[in-house]
Amino acid sequence: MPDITAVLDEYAVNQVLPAAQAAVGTLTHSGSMYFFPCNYTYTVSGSFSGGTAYLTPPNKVQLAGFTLHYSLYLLISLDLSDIIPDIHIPPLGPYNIGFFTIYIPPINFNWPTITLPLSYSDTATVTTDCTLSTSLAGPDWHVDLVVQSISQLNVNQAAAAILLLIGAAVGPALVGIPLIGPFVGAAILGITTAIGIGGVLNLLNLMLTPLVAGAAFRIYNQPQHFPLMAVAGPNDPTVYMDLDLVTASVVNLGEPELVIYADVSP
Amino acid sequence: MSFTGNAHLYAAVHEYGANDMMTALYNTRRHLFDRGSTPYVLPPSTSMVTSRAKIFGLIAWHVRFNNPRIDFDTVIPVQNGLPAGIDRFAIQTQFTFDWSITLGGWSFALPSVLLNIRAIGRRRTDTVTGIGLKIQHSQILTFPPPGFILAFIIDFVITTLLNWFIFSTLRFPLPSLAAGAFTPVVVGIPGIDSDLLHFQAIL
Repeated sequence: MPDITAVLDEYAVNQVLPAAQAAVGTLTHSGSMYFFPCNYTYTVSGSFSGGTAYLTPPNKVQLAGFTLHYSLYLLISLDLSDIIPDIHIPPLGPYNIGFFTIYIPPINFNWPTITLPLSYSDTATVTTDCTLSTSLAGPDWHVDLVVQSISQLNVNQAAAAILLLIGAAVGPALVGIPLIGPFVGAAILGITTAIGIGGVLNLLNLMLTPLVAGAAFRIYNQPQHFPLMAVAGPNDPTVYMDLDLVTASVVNLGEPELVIYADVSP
Repeated sequence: MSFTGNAHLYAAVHEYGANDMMTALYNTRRHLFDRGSTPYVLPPSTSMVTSRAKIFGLIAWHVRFNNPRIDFDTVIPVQNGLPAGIDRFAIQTQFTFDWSITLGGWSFALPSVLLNIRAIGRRRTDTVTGIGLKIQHSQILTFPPPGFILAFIIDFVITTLLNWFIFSTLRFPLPSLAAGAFTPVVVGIPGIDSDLLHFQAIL
C-alpha cells in the first residue's frame, strides 16, 4: 500500500492543464528538407493553450482541440532550371557567304537558383494522445503528460496562405535575372504548381509535428526532499521528508481519474 | 465507486506514511515529545529539547513519549471502555516520567514511571495547513489502573500531555501535497478507515 495517494478527476486535470501548458513555454525546432523542386530550411517556434483533457485507463490522456501558436521562418531555395528549361542553342555554321565565313557559337544559359525568405505566424488546432510519465529529474519528482502521437493537426488554411505568400515572393526574387522577362508568369505559375497545396501541407506537418511531439506537460511537481512542516520558531525547524517513489496511472472506478501514488521516508 | 465522488480531488495517507511523518517530526522537533527541567534537560537546549522550569522551583521533571506509532483503522479494539468505531485512530507510545526533589542542596530521586500507552482520537480539520488529529482518551497497556478514579486521572493527564506536546502542532499536509500548486478546499469531513486518513476536496 502506498504511503500517500492523490487522485484528480478529469475536472481537476483540466484545471491543472493551463499551468502545465504555460510551463512548457515556447518550443523551437529547426531543420531542412527537400521536396521537388525546392529545398526548405526552417525554424519554427510554438506554444500551447486551451484544449480539453480526457482520461483513459490505464495510462492515456488525450489532449483534444488545444491551440498551437506557431511562428515559422522559412527559406526556400529553388533552382529555376527545374521549372524553366535551360537555354541550349547548338552552334550554327560555319556558313560560307562569299568571302565570309559565319560561325554562330553555341549558346548555353542555365537559370540561377533563387531564394525566397518567408515568415508566417498562425495557430493550429491539435489533438494528441499522451501517456503519463513519472521521473526523478534533479531534485524534483515530476508527473508529465508526454505526447506520443498526434491525431489531429489542422493546418489547411495556413497551407493555402503560405502558398499565396510563396507566389507573391517569387516575382521580386526574379528581378535582375537576365532573359527571365518572358518567363516570369510561367515561373510563378510553375513554382506554385510544382509545390502545390499538398506540398505545403506536407511541409507544415513535417515542421510542426516535431514541435508538438516533443512536448511534455508537467501536471505534478514535488521536490524529492520536501518540507512536511514549515519552520515555526527557533526550536521548530522545517521538518523534511523524502519522496522515494512516485507512480501515476489512470483508473476508472465509476469515472476516469488520474491516480498518483507516493512512498515517503523520514 | 470513484475516489473523488462529487469532489475533484482525493488524497489519503496510509498509516505507514503517517508513521514516517511522525518519525520525521520526532527526529526534527524532539521537544514535542521530550520535555523537562534541569538537571534532566540542560540549558541551553540540547537535542532540540528546551529546558523548562522546575515545579514550584523544587521538583525536577522529565516527560517523554518514545516511538509513537499511529494506527488508522475502522474498528479499534475496545479496551477498558475506550470509545471505538469509524473515523478514529489510535496511537501507541512509551511514556516515561522521571522526577526528583531538591531540598537544601540535597536531591532525592523519586521512582521513575514507565508506561506503555494506547490512546484513541479523532481527526480535526485544518484546511490551510493540513489535516490535524486530536487525542480523546488514553489508557495504560502496562497494567490496569487500580480503580476508576486513578484511571480517569491518568486518562486525563496523558491525553492532555499528548495533545499539548504532539498533536497541537502536527498536521498532515495532504492538501498541498496532493494538489501541488493549487490550494484545494476540503469538503465534508476527513475520514479514517482501512488504515487510511483520507479526504476529498474541490479546486
